[in-house]
Amino acid sequence: MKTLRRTRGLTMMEVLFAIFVMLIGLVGVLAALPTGISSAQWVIFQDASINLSASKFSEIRRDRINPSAIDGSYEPLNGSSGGWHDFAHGPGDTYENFDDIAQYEWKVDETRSTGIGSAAGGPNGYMAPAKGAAQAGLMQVTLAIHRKGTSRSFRFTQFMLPYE
Amino acid sequence: MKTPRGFTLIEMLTVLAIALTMVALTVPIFGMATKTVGAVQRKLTIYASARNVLDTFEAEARLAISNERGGHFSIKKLAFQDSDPFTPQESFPDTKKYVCSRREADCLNLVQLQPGGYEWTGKVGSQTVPVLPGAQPFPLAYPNNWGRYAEGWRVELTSSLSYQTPSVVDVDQDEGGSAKEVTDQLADVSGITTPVHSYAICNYIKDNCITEGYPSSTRLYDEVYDQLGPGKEIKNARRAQTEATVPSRQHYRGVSGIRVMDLDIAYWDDAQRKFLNVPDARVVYFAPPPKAVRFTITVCDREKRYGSITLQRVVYLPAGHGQASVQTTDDNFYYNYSASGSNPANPCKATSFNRTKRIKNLPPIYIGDWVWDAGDGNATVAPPFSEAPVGPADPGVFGTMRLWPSPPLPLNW
Repeated sequence: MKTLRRTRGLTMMEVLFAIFVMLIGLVGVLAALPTGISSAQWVIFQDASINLSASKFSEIRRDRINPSAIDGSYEPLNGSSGGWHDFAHGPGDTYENFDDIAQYEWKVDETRSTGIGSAAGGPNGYMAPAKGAAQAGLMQVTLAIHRKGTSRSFRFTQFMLPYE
Repeated sequence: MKTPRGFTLIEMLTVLAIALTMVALTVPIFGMATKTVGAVQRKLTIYASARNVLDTFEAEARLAISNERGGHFSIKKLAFQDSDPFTPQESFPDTKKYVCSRREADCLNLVQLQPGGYEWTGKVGSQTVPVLPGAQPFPLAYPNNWGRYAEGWRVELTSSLSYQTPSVVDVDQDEGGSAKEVTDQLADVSGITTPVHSYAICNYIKDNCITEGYPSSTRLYDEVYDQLGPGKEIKNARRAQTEATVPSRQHYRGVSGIRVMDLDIAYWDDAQRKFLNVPDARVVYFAPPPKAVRFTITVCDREKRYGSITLQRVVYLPAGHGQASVQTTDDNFYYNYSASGSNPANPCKATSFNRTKRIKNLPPIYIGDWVWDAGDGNATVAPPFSEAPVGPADPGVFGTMRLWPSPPLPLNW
């Protein structure tokens, strides 16, 4: 003979606890969204930085100046710590119409003589020495683009001739 | 033994109320978050696309070369007023760039060397020098030209507002298969495109010239005089020969995923040390080219869902070594053509270069080779020494081409 057994229902506390667990899960999902937005903004900054660094490298090549002694040739220091320059965006300036240009700043972060073309070769082994070639004196120039108010920055490197 | 009880009705209603409240709160939060993510992603897409567009422009411009006879590097400044509600109307739209209804539609014309590229891929006839395994020819886009090596390329980077591409490319067509009229583009700025036309410099011994009005049947082209001098730049794209045995010397590249509403090209004045624009409706033929140019583009997505952004890029020109001090008093000197003879005196005079010329005061050769009679499709201007076919043209090949100049005229025309 089969005995019927009555099962009990959920108590109020159990249901509230379940809802609480679900809430934790939802908060977790929602917490991921700002991260996604932040990542997208990071990529936008990356795109802007690539664009601006290419532009600034072009300016240096155009003017044929020594990238290791660049201060004074372009925008003055903007006063922020770290030796940053604004991108000139006043009326008639080069970057007048670049979207949100005021939030970006730049600096020549590093210049190193590579010794490419010398008999001894480069100090960092970039390239095998060109036999019989004169010292080309290429410089490894690194530009940094920084987004103001954040700790975010990108660094871009090109090899350039150090015009004196 | 105590029998557990189930929910009372009140308890059930309380739990339901709490659950519903949470759901109700969650939905708008999700909605807002999703909307924000969507907006950021669209902006990201536009940003990435705009940068790629500028990368393309830079790659083209940096290949510019010049020679001792002044050919060829020129900038034309053209601007139009659009009627699209997407852009806010201003009282004086012709004085405010990028943010209102003034659309920049500049043109950059230059010459590039033929760097090998396609011809070295081993695909064509006896030209079987292959690229290294895994390597790519450069530039990738240049096609074969009758199996011949091109010496170079005339290249035009322009806005479809200024010069239209023949309706051979889907992105530039309207529903009827014709090139989009300027009026249509101004009514919907997402219809504006920025084509790059390249036309091979090669094979310029031309037969049957008597039928084209020349005194002898064979004409050996003077490369600079006929192909590179001021006025010989590509304007409206030329006929695209699609027969399998006669591939075109022209090549087209377009940007379809993103729409470039504004194409502004400024030159670097090395004396004033600033970028300057050519005045509206003017052209400057530079010799030598300036040290740098600056591209400014405003882009939107095709559906115009997310506003627009404006980006700028300075492009250093390896061949540029000019001061680019431009005389801004308009003159009417132009590169003159002789109606006959195969080697007229060199017309590349200094007066042709580094000064503003009002386009409408120049001969049609400076404005557009393809000028059609709207009634019967005949070419009403078929300039000497041009590759334009003489006689009635087939409008079906081109769709409806713009008459130059015709309304809507550029600003300050």
